[in-house]
Parts: sequence; C-alpha cells; structure tokens
Amino acid sequence: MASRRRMLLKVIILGDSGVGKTSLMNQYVNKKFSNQYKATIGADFLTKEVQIDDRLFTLQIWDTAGQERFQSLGVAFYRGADCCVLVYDVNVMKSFDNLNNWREEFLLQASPSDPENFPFIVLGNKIDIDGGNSRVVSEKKAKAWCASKGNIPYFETSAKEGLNVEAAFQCIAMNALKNEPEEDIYLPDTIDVAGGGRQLQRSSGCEC
Amino acid sequence: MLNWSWVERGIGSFVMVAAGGSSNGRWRPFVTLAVTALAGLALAVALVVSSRSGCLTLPWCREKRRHPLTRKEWNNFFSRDGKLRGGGIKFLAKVRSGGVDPSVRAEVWPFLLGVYVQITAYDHLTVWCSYDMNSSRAERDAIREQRRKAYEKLRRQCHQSADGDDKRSSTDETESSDSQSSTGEPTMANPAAVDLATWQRIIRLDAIRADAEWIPYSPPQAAVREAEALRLASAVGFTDYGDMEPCRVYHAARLVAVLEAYALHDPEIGYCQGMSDLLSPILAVMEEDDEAFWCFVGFMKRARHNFRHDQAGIQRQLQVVSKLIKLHDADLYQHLEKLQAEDCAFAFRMVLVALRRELTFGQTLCLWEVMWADQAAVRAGYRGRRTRSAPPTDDLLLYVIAACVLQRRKAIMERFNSVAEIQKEFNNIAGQLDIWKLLDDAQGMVAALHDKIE
Repeated sequence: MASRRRMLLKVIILGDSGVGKTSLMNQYVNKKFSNQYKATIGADFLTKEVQIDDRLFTLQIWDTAGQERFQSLGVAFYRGADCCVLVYDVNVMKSFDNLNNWREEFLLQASPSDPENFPFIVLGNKIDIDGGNSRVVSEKKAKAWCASKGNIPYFETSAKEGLNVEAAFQCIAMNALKNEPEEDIYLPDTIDVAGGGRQLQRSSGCEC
Repeated sequence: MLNWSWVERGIGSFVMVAAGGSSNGRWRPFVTLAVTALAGLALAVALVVSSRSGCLTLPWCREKRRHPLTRKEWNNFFSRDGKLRGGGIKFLAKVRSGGVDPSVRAEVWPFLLGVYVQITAYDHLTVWCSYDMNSSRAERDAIREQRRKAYEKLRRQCHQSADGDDKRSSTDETESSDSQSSTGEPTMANPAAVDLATWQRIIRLDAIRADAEWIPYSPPQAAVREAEALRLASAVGFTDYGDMEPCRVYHAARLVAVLEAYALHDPEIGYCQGMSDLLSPILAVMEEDDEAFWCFVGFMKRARHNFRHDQAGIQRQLQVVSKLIKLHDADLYQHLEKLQAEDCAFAFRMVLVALRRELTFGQTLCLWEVMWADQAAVRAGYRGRRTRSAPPTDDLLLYVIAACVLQRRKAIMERFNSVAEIQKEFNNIAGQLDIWKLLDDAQGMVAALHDKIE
C-alpha cells in the first residue's frame, strides 16, 4: 500500500452557477481554458500532485454544481474535505452576496470537527472581463467580508487568462495541509521525484 | 457487424503513423493520398452498413441493434381516419424493442410523450387525466392548435415579466428565494417575478454553453440563416452569444424560449440546471417551438421530480438503483457498502439528465424513445403478454443505470478502493457504452426484479 501513503488533500470548490468553478479547476490542473464547459451536474474532480517543502501530496479538487437546489447533495461530496474554496464573479453582485450562504451551508453539511478554524479561501474570478469596467464588487468590499469571517485568504483571479490561479491554489494546498491532523503529516512517505509536482514554498504564504 | 470504434482507432493510428512517422518528404503526398482514400472507403462502407439497418447516419454511434420503427410500418399502424390501430399497443411494443427511425421521430415522439390527450380542464399539471392513444387525426389537429395557443400565451407572459423586471428599480436585489419557495409560501412581494429573474439568468448561462452534438441530427436547423438566428435571439432577449455560429445561436435562443415558458408553466420547479440537457435533443427533433415545448412537458411529467427543491425525487431514484444492485448482486453491493458508496450518489448525474452526458447524442435519442414507449405503455395499461418477458416500467432508466454499474462490476470490485474512484469512472464513461447491450441487460433485470421494486 505504498502508494496510499502519499497524502490526499481534498478541496471543495463552491459558488453560484457560472462564476467559473470548472474553469478555475481546469486552468490550474490542465492549463486550459474553454468557455464551453457544460454546467456541472452533481460533482466531478481532478487531481494534481503538489510538492510542499520536500513532500509530495495529491490535491483532489472537487468541482460542484452551482445551483442552490443541489446543496442538499453536498453531504455526499463534502465528506473529508480539508479546505473549501468559495468563488464569486466580480461582475455579479449576487454571486458575492451568496458567499455567506455557501460558507454556512458547507459548515452545516460537512460538519468539520473545528468549524471556527476550518480553512476557507475566497476567489473573485473573471477580473479580465471588459478590462475590469463591468466589475461591481470592489476588492476592498471583498477583503472586508473575508476579514470579518476570520481573515479568509482572498485572491482575485482570471481563469481565462490564468491570472493568479497558480498562486491561489498554492495557498489552497497549504491551508488544506494545515487542516490535516499532525500524526498524518508525519507518516512515512515515498518521495516520487519524477512526479512532476510543482514546488510550493511555505514561506510564500498567503498575502492576506 | 463491424466494430466501428475499432475501425476508427485503426484509421486514427494509421493516420498518425503516416503523418508523424514519415519524415521522408518524397513519401508524404503518396501516404496522405492513400490515407485519405482508405478513410473515404471506410466511411463509405460505414454509411452503407448504417443505412442498410436504417438507424442513425453516424455509424460509430450505432451498435448491434434491433430494427427501429420505419416510416412504412408507422404509416401502416394508422386506420383511414388517422387512429392508431389497436390502441397503439403494437406500435408501443415496436418502439420498446427497437426505437424509431430518425425520419419519423418528429411524428412519433408526441405520441410517446402524451401530447395528444383530450384536454378537459387546463390546469398546468393535471392535463394528464385521460391519456388517449385513440385520437383521430382531426382531434390531434385540434389539440395541437389548442396547445400552440397555450404556448404562445406563456411566451407573452415571459415578455411581460421581462418588461416588469426592467421597470423595477435596480435596488430590488433579487436574493434567491429558492430555499423558501419549496414550502410554497410567498416570501417577497412578488416571488414569482423574483424567481423568474433568477431562472432567466441561469437559463441563459446554460444556453450559451449547450453542446453542438445535435447539429448532424438536424440538418435544417444546422443550416439556419444568420438573420433568422439573430431575429429569434433578439425576440427572446438573448444577447450574450458572442461569436457563436448562427445555428448555435438559434439553438440557444430556442432553449431560452422553451425553458422560460416551462418555468412559468411549472413554477414549483421553475428552471434547474440539467433541464437544458433534457430539452436540447427534443429541440433537435421537433422543429416548432410549441411542439417541442409540449413534448418537453411530457418528458418532465416524470423527470420534474428529480429537480424538486427538497431533492426527494432524485433520492428515491438513487435508492431504487441501490436496491436493484443489492437484489441482483449482493457481493457488489457489499463492496459498495464497504466504500460508503451504497447510496449510489455517484450515479446522480446519470439519473438527473437521463444518461445524456454519458451517451452519445444518437444513443440518447434511442434510449429516451424506448424509455418513453415503456412509460406510455404503462399509462395505456399494457402489462406484457408473456410472463417471462419484461413488462413496461416507468423506471426503465433506473434499470439501465443499474445495468451500467453492473457492467463495471469487475473494475469496482478489483481496482477501486474509494468512492472517488467510482465517481471518476462514471464521470468519464462517455462514449464507452453500448446502448442496446445496456437495454438488453436492463430488460432482463426488469423481468427478474420488477415485482420486488414496484
């Protein structure tokens, strides 16, 4: 069972329909963008090997359906999550207003052991649209909300242009790792040097 | 019968070898010519074989299949005044066993979907009281006219709601009342308008990203003129189409028109993601929006429960899939339990959009018409003649999905150690299924297990 020793970090992406959850995941894992991703039904995931310090991890990123009606399904998919990514579209106010619902719904359904300290990350996506002229949620407003919820790290991204996606997911991986119990972290591991993992520096941290 | 995926792979690898492998420039024109000729020959053989058995035009979408209902057979089912002989029983049996030839689908589907019932009292979901396979041609014409007007009225209401939205002040933040509306209690001054605005936004999001797989199946719509496409888009207020091709703008605008009308017709469900997947094939077959709409209403009569806010419908269906697996294969079920996958949540998408994402477009049409014929036979009170044959069931889709899981038994038992791996397997199953083999397996399960399920 050597292969199972590489630790799995499970990440859930939540947010309203059409904010770019599938696109962010595909940009990060496959370095590809398409505006033709069909609406996600149920849930799907992609995995990526990441290296943090000198250790390799498998990041399992779960993409979910954005319509509120599907939230009750969450319990099946949220089980065992290590980090939750909340995504909104900086050009759609309602998608920002709904972040709170998504956060509360996640905490309710995943019922993590320490909800106060469960790691969330917020991504304001689609900053490329119309050169930023159509944006309706300011960075200041988004950061204020993040601060009010226990200093949630915040990134502004463009899945289309690949802007800030790598940095955001580095932060996500490190926060997911922090959520893992200590004894798991120090399990003996086989380091697969040829695994193509991306070097992550703990010191780069998250800027907010 | 030739195995087309093998032929495709063979040609594909030969083309790759020829194109990438021959670094010698002298040979390239010859090899290219040979490859083209070979591919052309293969395609010609494919088309001959596929047209001979009279199903789809794309040979690689076809598997070994039974004979579909042909134009000639269809015409012969009718008496002189246009009534289906024998209450349509033989007609339904034929469709249940082999599907429908593409040339008659647009005529057949309204029968399968219960469009031709006598409307005694119009109340949006209780139209279905007197199912009627015995309608005459004149009666059907009258029903079609009545329904065309009803659809146009719904479209007018969509326009009025949209105008109303424009007039409301922009401070009217439309916090979704989805979660509250499931109780049926109005939570704001005008909850229907608020919901419709939310639905309209999501409908447009999904219309833009609808796939283009329908194009080979609907040549007239694929060839729509740009002016016509833009006229329709403008008429339904669909503007975000960017640089999409005209035929895709047209299809997206039709999705918007019919889905908005449905949201008003059935406000308890409104619009939910996945419904556009169910509508797109109907639009490809039915060229008139009003006829497509009523076929969709017929489809949704059962499927709507999957989209309920409380998710009770989809949970029940997943439980049936789970029970079928348990009854049919206790070892597999035990393994699923060990992986905490016995709730069959991994089959959520398969159930919700009736395998649309897993099957090719052509396979989807075949499965759905067989499934609708089963449901129509149940409505018509047909119970099957022989005791060992599969009686019609409302839940054929669930048997097909259970059959699909059982076909993956070996992989699940031997290779998968987590529910995530099972989820991945079924999310990536597209293009690997043989629809007639699945239907054979499913109908075998119906014969063996239906009395334990229903």
